[in-house]
Amino acid sequence: MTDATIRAAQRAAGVAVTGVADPLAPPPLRYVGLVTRVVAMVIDAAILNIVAVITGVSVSLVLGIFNLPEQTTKVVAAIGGTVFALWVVVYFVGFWCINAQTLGDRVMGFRVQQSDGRRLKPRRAVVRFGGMVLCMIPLGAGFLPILFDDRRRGLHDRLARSVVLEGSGDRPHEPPHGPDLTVLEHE
Amino acid sequence: MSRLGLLRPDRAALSVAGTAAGIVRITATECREVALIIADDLRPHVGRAVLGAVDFLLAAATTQEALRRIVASDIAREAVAEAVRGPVVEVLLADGVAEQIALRVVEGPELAQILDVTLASESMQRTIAGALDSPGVERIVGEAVEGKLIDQVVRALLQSEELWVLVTEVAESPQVTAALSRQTAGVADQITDEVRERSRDADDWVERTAHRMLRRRNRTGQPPRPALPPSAEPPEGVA
Repeated sequence: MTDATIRAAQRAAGVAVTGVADPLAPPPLRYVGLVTRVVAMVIDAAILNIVAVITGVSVSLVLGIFNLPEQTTKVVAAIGGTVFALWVVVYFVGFWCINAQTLGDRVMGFRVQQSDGRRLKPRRAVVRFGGMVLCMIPLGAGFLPILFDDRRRGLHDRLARSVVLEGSGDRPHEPPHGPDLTVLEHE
Repeated sequence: MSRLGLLRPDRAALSVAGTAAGIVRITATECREVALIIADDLRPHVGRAVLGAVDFLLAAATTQEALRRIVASDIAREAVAEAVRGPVVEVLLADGVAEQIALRVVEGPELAQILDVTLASESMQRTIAGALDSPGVERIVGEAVEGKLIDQVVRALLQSEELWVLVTEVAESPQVTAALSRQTAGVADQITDEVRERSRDADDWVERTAHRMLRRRNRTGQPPRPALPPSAEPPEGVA
């Protein structure tokens, strides 16, 4: 009997054994849909831009004292753009890895984790962020699979093998003892 | 002897009578003088004796018993009633005597003692409770509330500086600040929960709409399999 068959039997057995609903069991987890994620993204964007604006205005005020030449101003603008991009990357990757949720995710009450229940590793978090950028290029069409996927995953989730679940990210789920679901994905 | 002879006074007798009268007069005068002299000498002694007798009488038990009987007797009641009916009341009310008496009572310690005893008594408590429950008091309170009294009181309060000092103190107190913070946090939590719930509903609605547009099977977003694999052991009989 192959491993896949064993795992499928395990899952089936688990469902059969626990066919009767346990009233004390926690409510079933829900994957989070598109609208909730958009709202969280808006909150994150507001935070990112507010910090960027404050920082930019502060730097501009300071540089304005010195009356720098235009060339220098352009270099400063380029550096500012690079810093902003880094700031966005660090924001998302850092929160996903440390807390499994950004500030917007926390407000909306969901978390981002690997398919096996563990927190995103930095490499996967960077891949996921890159996937988000790719999703946005065709005017956000990369997010549409969320509406049709069984686990509400977009393109970026599939790339990073992550899922988005309801719940707080304060206590990440322990790695399960069972098989990794990602092995059983049929995509 | 003729009648005229009988009527002729005996000069000697007249003389004797006159002398006797004179002697009496002199004697009376001298006696009066002597009496006055004696009285002046005896007056202090007599006064002391009289006072001593009075003190003795006052200290005597019989005197107190006699006084008790006199006060309890009908004669005393009649005397007081007669005095009240008489000019005594007018004398007391005249010339500010009543005011003096009232002032003395008010300023003296007796008033406080009287009030303490009165307020502590059960009969006073019952009287006050009965008065408060009476319809008359309710009517008075209702008229006061509906009348201009409350408006005047409120207007005076609003114009007073102490009221705003009190309001400031209350507003700045740590308890009120903490309560406001909790209330604000509670409102923020409520808003957040409301937004979450509506976004979840919107998720489901958008998905249903999308599926309907593409004529796919309706899914509510519940995972067909658990989000995390179960940790159950394989059943018996499975190879």
